[in-house]
Amino acid sequence: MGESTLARQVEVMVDPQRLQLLALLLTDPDGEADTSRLAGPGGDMDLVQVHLEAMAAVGLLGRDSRRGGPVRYRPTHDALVRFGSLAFGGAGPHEHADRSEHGPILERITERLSVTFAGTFARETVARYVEESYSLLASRARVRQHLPALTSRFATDRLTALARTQDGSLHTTTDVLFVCVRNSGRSQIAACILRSLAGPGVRVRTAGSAPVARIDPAVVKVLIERGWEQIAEFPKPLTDDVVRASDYVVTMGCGDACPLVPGRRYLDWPVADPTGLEEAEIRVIVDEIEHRVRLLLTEIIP
Amino acid sequence: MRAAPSPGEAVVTAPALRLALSRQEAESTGALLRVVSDASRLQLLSLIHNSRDGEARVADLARALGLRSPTVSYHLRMLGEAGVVSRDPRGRDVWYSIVPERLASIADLLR
Repeated sequence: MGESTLARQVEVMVDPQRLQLLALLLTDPDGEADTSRLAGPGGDMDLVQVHLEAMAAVGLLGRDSRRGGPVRYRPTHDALVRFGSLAFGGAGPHEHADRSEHGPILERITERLSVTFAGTFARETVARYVEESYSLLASRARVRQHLPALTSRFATDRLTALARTQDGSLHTTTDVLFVCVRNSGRSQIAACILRSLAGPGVRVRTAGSAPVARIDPAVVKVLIERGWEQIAEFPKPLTDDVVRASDYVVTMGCGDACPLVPGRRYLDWPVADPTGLEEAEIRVIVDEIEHRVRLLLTEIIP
Repeated sequence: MRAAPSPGEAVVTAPALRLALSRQEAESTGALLRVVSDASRLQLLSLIHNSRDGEARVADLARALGLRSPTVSYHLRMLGEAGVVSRDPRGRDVWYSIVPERLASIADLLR
């Protein structure tokens, strides 16, 4: 499970010297270094070695022993993504750095990285990372001359790592779960429409916090009348498993009965319950849900 | 007017400085990491962070993680004492959220 690897990494990084070593490595001109360079003149090489190996053991440093020389350590993607900002004092208060001095260069860095990461990160995301990386570095740089270069490398490394992390966790389908109270009206309408509109890349499920025996016949009638015929479900209870299996969880009045699972995108649509309403009113609800489903689909498949 | 900035970043590909983290800063970050270096606490923080409005109740968290409520309460108390989460009693419920100043530091661990 991801959390236990992460917990082990966090445990290893509790030691202040390791955070200091990571900060040195992240700003090293080569992006990697061996034990003696990290220990510095007169430093305790054995101790530094122990720290570096502990970080390597939990996948925060890669070891490279090419050319028969001493082992060189390089921060991994995990180290960059998870501990990059912490290693620069992200835990302490740091005021927003005055970037006016380097404004134009930072703009160019953002511009260049936006092109590099086009299709993966929006320009705003890139700009935020550049800005944040600059602030982190500026808060402890005595010599400001090299800040843009360091910012450029740090932001590039972090974005690269982030992109890989995202790629790695991509699954082939997007699972969407619609939840309402009875699982006989709103969630069925939404599921039916999304199933009709989306291709095989989207898997649609429904559930109810207090499911009833069958889908509301008046709802079925309106759906068929509107050409939405993919009604293939029966009301069923909401379980943790189905939430866990979903990427998107859309609730429509299920109250607080919906379990919260990390990493899922939660949406709450304030749509009226069609139960007991006239057909004309149900049509309005179907149209409203259709509108929301189409918007959701543009988010799922950009 | 100050001199124009050097033309592009290419000039300074290998900056001749390494930035150190001060001992004091490293210790304060280490102390924060110590509190969250536990799989259950990381899960709790991740859940709270990903909840609607960034807040959750003990019962929600216990159910989602399959933990007992007293266990969740214990972890939340530890996180509260370390200033990582805050509690907000509203009506009959207590809502927990991540202290905004801390969130910036640990958000990278919760994605």
